[in-house]
Amino acid sequence: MKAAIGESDQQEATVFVPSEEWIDAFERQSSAKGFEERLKRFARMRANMVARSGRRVDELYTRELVQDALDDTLEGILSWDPERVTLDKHLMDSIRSRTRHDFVHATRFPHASFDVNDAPRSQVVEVERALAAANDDAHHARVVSAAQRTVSELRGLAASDADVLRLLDAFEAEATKKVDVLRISGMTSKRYEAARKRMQRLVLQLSAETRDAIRA
Amino acid sequence: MTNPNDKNIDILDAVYNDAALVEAESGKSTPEDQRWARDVRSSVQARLAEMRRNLTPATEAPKKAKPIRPSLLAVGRDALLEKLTQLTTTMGGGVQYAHRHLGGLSDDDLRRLIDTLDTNTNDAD
Repeated sequence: MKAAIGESDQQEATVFVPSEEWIDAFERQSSAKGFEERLKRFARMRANMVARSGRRVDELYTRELVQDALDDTLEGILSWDPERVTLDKHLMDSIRSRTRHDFVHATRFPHASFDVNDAPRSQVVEVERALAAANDDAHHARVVSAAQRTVSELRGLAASDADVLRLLDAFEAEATKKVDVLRISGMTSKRYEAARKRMQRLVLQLSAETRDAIRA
Repeated sequence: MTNPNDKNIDILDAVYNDAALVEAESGKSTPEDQRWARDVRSSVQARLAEMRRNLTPATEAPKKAKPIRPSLLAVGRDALLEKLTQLTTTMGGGVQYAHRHLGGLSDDDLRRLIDTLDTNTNDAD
């Protein structure tokens, strides 16, 4: 307990003091028209991914993703170097990382409503035993299965769209940058951009029924 | 080393990231999104202004007043007021001070005021 208090004091003592250039860069880039709204649309789509894990996501969660990325950067918890990366890329990367983590965590530890006070003692013991017995391999398998199911469903939705399937193949081959996708798929830039938009619509179409299936 | 089973998570992550980038660039915002964005912007700007204030050096500590000259210390209130009137008359429009009601000033305040105005007085006395 003493160590924890010490750590807390140490954290409070460290105040992030960025340079004037850093503040100028942050202000200039965050003043761009529609900056926050673009971040929120990005976050909302990433929140859809977390929803695939069965976790309930809402507008508050989406707002929190953007707000936390901004706050953590302004507090210096997330390090941003204006010389190396643009502010929106930095914030989107942070939201991406957080949502990936939340997806994995929510799939490993699906939420189940359970009131210890109302449940019979035998049920409480059973739940505690199940939680204790659960091992990392089983959790990991559940995460992989949830991801696999979603990718399969996307392939199903894209069944008659060769370019979207090519895009998925490219992602599967770990090619996510445009230049790499074009090289692997042989698509033209125009076809690639059109396929991205169609895939975005398919992602939005992923049914609520599958989410329920993952949750079950 | 990456677990080969993690590949599906990577694909899912890449698919949603790409869709999110497209949505960020070409999606539409609701009026509620716009209201929220305005609130966020104003709180970020306030935070940046605070950071800028933290960069400016702290104001200098107040300087300690010079000791009152012994020649003025010996002078009483009536004589001080007389001297101040003489100075003001002599200097005409060249002197201005903020105190209209000298009754609110202590004797030492008057001495310091005279010291400030009377630059011809020898510091040595």
